[in-house]
Amino acid sequence: MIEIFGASNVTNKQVDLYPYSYDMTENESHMPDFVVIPENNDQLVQLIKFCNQFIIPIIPYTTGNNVGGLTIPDYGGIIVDFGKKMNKILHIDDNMMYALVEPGVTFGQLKKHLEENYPHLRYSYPNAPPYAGIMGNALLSGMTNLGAKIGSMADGLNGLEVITADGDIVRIGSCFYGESEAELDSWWCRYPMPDLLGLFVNWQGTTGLVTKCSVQLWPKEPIEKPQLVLFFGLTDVGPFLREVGRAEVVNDVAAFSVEVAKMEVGIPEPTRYPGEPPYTAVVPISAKTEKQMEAKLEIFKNVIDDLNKKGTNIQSIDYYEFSKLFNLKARNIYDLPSQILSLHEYSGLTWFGAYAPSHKFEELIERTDELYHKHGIPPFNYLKIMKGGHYGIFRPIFRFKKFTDQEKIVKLVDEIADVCIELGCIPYKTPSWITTKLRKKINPGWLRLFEKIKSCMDPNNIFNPGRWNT
Amino acid sequence: MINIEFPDDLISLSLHTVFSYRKNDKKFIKAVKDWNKKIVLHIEPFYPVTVIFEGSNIKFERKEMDDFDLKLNIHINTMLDIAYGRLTPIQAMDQKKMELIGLEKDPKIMPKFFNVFVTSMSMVAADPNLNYFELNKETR
Repeated sequence: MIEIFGASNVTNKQVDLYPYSYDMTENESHMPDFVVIPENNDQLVQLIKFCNQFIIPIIPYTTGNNVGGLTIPDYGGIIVDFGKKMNKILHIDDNMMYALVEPGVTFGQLKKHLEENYPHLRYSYPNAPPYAGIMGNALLSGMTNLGAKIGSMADGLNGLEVITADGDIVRIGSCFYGESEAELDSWWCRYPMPDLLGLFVNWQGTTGLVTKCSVQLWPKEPIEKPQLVLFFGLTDVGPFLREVGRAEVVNDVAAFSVEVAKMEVGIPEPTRYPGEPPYTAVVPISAKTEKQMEAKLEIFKNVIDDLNKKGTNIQSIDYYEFSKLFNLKARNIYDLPSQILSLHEYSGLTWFGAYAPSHKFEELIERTDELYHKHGIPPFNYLKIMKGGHYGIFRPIFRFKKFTDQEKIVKLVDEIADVCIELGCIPYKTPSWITTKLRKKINPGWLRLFEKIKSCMDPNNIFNPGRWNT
Repeated sequence: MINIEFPDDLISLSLHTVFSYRKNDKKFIKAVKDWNKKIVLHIEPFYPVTVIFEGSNIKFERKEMDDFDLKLNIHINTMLDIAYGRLTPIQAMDQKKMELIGLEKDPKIMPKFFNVFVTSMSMVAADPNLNYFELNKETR
């Protein structure tokens, strides 16, 4: 290891290894054997060859903020910490609107870079801290605040550079021409060649080491008028998400149970009182001109009026004005990426984050609500509508005290997972104890193909073993 | 010095935020100290909240108390219109977007009510700061 990375970039001291042995979740901790800090691909090629020779696990790590135990080295091995040195923004292409980044680049880093140098461009940001890594979220199909328009972060991937199990450096996407390094302006598209990105997206690092990725940027529209929406019926948020998604006037909908909203504005142990809306939503809307904004708001209000005529009780308020007057902390949910301090103030955080069939929103809310009441835990649900209404997101998320409440919370997540999977939800960024549940329901043909691809891509099972029960 | 109870419902918390903005404002302290009134705010589409001014304390009850001194009925969007200067309270009452009940009990209550509630909201709305982490931590 020292020969490859240099003595200052390798450690096996327990005190250095410990922070890499656990994350915020309930997933069991396990110590790695080494942590290495790479600077270039040559080092990684040597590492992969070495690890294949001696069958040593390699675990990719950027900033350690996932909520699924995905970088815990279940079988020991070597943590490759990309966050320390492979963290450069390599290129911003103003013309074709993309950013080429190394694995350690964070959302905050890219946002700052764009605001300072390309203020007319923006990336799509998740409800995550600024120090969370872009590549991990993109490769795991994470959410964005442009979700209602563009879908998940993986939908905005143009291309990747990957080191495969045999040490080959592979470029995927429009950057695939040429033998040596790709031109910086060649990372502009994912298609029309066979989509080899699928060999790496959502595989949780089990098929190769991704060393570069190109992500799409978007024009930053000058006018923003986000709306706060209040839902006074328990399931009113369901039809709203479906209808507003297909109205194609909003960038995103971040809907959450009121307990989440109360937590985010600083109420320590939030519960819902009579008269409070069970669900609220923050809806980013942007436009190029005031007239376009007026038209979008008119369509948006028509959606609500039409639903209310059919029996819902939904109200909208100007979000900037409301949050400024009544609680500036609420802007934290809108100005992404951001650290929701109250979500991270306990020692534990876990979730069941899932892609969801949007026609099941009401049933998901009602059935999980029963489970929350059964366990005496307030509902902490997040919902979204994605890509013009094509699908939804349903995410129960929990902060908890690891040493006192973990057992109770895990029992609840377990039961919620069963209900959601039964209703057709597909979890993402998923810990292996939940992929075990999925495997019981996935068709055998899919599983056989999955296993065949995995054994072809990683015959010695050195890449992040344990994920997806590999 | 005014003590403002930290509530755990949405509307009371919002009012807590507004009052806290003026916690060190001498005019505000003078207005609310020993006011000893119960003011009901029913902000539609939410629920009524009674704000209790008692000595040096401001407390909140998540209901309409029967012995209120003044009651305000208003929609949240009208409240924002007033706070941001698009509508005056008089215009709101003329247009029946705002209703005050109990004025006959104490004719002096209205100016003080406007100072404590409406002026405070307008001051918060006019503050150019949009970053919660730059707020005065002693007052908000």
